[in-house]
Amino acid sequence: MLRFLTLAITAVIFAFPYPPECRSEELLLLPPGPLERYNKDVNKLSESERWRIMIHGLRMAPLHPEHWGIRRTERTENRRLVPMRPFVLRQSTDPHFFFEEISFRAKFVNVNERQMLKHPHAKDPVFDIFFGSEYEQSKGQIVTDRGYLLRLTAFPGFKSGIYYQSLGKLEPIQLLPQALLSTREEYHVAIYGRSDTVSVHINGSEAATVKRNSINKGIVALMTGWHPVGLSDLKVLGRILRDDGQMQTVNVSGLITLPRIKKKK
Amino acid sequence: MIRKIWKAFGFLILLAAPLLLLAIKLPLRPEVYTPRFDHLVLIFLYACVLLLIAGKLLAPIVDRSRAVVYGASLLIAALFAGLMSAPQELWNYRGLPACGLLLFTAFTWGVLSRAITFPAPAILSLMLMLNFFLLSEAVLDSLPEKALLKTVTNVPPIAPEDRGNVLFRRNGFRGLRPCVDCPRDSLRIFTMGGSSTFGTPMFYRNDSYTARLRRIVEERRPGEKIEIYNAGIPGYGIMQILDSIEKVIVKYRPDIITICAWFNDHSAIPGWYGFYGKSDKEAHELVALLRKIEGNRYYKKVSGTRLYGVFRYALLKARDLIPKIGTERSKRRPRMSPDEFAWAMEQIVSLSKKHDFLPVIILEATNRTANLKAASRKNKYYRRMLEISKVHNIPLVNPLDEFGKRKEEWLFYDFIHPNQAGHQIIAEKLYSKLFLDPGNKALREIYKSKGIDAQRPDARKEYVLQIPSPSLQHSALKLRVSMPEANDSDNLLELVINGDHTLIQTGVGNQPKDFIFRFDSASLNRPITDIRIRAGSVSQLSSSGTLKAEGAQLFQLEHFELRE
Repeated sequence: MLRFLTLAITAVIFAFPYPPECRSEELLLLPPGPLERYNKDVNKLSESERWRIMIHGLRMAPLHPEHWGIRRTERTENRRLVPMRPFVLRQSTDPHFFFEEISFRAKFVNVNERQMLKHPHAKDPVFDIFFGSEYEQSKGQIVTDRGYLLRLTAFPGFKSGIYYQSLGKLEPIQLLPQALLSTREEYHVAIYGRSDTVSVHINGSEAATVKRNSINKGIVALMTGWHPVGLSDLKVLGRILRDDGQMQTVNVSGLITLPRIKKKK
Repeated sequence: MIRKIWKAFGFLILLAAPLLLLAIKLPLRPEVYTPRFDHLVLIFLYACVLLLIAGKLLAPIVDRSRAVVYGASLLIAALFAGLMSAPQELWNYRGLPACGLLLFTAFTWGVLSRAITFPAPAILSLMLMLNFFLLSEAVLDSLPEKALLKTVTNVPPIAPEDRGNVLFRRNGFRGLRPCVDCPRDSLRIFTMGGSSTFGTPMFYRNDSYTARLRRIVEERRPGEKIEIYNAGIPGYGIMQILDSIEKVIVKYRPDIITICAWFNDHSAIPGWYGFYGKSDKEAHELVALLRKIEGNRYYKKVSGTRLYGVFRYALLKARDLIPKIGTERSKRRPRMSPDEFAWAMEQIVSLSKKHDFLPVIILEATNRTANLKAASRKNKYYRRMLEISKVHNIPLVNPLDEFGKRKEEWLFYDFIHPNQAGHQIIAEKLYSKLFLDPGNKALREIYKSKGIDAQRPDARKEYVLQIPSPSLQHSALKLRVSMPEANDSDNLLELVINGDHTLIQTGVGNQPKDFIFRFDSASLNRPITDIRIRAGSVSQLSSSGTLKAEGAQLFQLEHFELRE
């Protein structure tokens, strides 16, 4: 009986070695983890649950895993570490996704130039908003990773503007009039996408416009350097063209606001 | 006069003793203990209490002053044993000098009271005290094990084993594990370092630069027996690398050991061993001393008693009672100063001569790093590594220049841990240094003994060029290509532009030949043109007119340039 059971268990293990989602090599994003904590009252969250929420997202801007995911190749250890990696809007991975508007208010944590030059590895105020991106992976390796991005930066030597990136290499397309932002100011940024035009508005005025074929078609993602950026009023508007010709509207934020807890002295 | 002061002090202590003993019973959490100077004060008070109690007990039998002196000596000895058994953190506060101070105090007091003699009553008191301890042990031993706390029955060692070595035993090598008794016909390379070598925070072990180097070697140097192992452990600094090489790695008979460290060493103490106020080097020496004590057979006998456990427990309880004095911030210093770092590197060089392996230094890069010249101006660790490399003729791998050149790109997961692209840069640089630039005499000798072809050309199955499209608009790309292992000269050269346009030319042979490719504007439809270059035989051409992925063969791209 025992032998039979052992044989049966072995057979089951070999037949189903991984959950179905892990077997798919072409799966782009990791599936969202447990979501119970996101449905809880914010004030009733334990410290560990708050941490779990905080680590999924940008350093000072936790994102909801149902809307924003991590690429499978960039899966990291389950540890209290907030790595720099793009957080991809799940719905934008649909091959027929077009974004219409990405808007937010952003402010870098204040840091002076001297500190940035002294600790460039940690004090690097850079915020990239990827759009119109293509991404493909095979056998755990990145095959295609290209698209456009709006870089907002206050880091000396870097320039804010619209770039094209392919496998990490950047090529500037149009720089913003104010190439170096300030860490003391809050910026209201809006990126509007039309069929072949993308325009960037900063604090209500147009800062850059780029014309390219299908520039607004593709993946949308957010990424910051180690230096944190405060983010609010995040809004992504888009549409997905279904096979039956119907348009599906996408209107998401996924940004989570966690009230700060004052530590007891 | 002194006797009067001592009596007054004793009286006060006796008044405070019940409160103190009551307080000692408060719950204690040793795992959150941070050692403090003020603990010594408590230990001193505790010793005084016991001293006076013993004196009072023995007073009716023997001369009080003499009994107290000998009782004190015994108690101090027991205290010493208790300190030994206390967690290693207690040693931060100079346990031995503290005991010495207590002994000195007791003997000074003895000299002052003219009691340093060995008359019969004193020997009697000594015997009584010994009896007391033996009786206590007998009573404790008669109790069932469950009746006592685990901290009393299971006393941990004073110097626990290095967790890095424990990790190595549990397959601390990330990925493949080396074999100890296998034949020595292959070249063995071990990569050592901290988390950036281990591949933190990456989930997949195949993403680390060690695994990438292994893949590069397998692809570009087929037929050669080269084993590459990842011996990085998160948190390791140069002192732990030295210790691991000595205790673990040399058993696997390495030929080359790469060392990628400095960032953990420059971080603030407490370091790997958890000692405040001590660098890793000092802490390592102390741990070695504690291990020596632990190995002593008399100490082993004493530490096996339950009384020892009770005494240790009492000390652990006692040390949380006194409020904190000072802050930890004031004790901040690096785990290993640049000089200590250089010392450890020198030790590794000495070990390499003794165990016949070649150390290779990899400069650990940080996010947004400057190139080596600029970075070494600020960073003393880099400077020390450069000096050691020069003095001992050790190969030095410098990925900093490449990281510095590409600092606008995302090459790190945080301020220190490279991502996949960052690990690929390190792997390529390491491969170039080890196999394409074997200028080092020791390296050439190792290759000769292992049958590795040091002159083998840099042939790959695929090259990826990234060129800004505007610069290709009115240009042609000239490539000089050869297939070193080809027998004929009618092989294919394939260019895949942006993943969707394919250009093919024939005539690739084992001799270098120039090929010129012209581009139509349709293929330059992106700001950056990604060109993947592959070569293969005509038989590997698929029905769609492209080279089959599995049909790509090794070829060498000797030169490329843009031409009008």
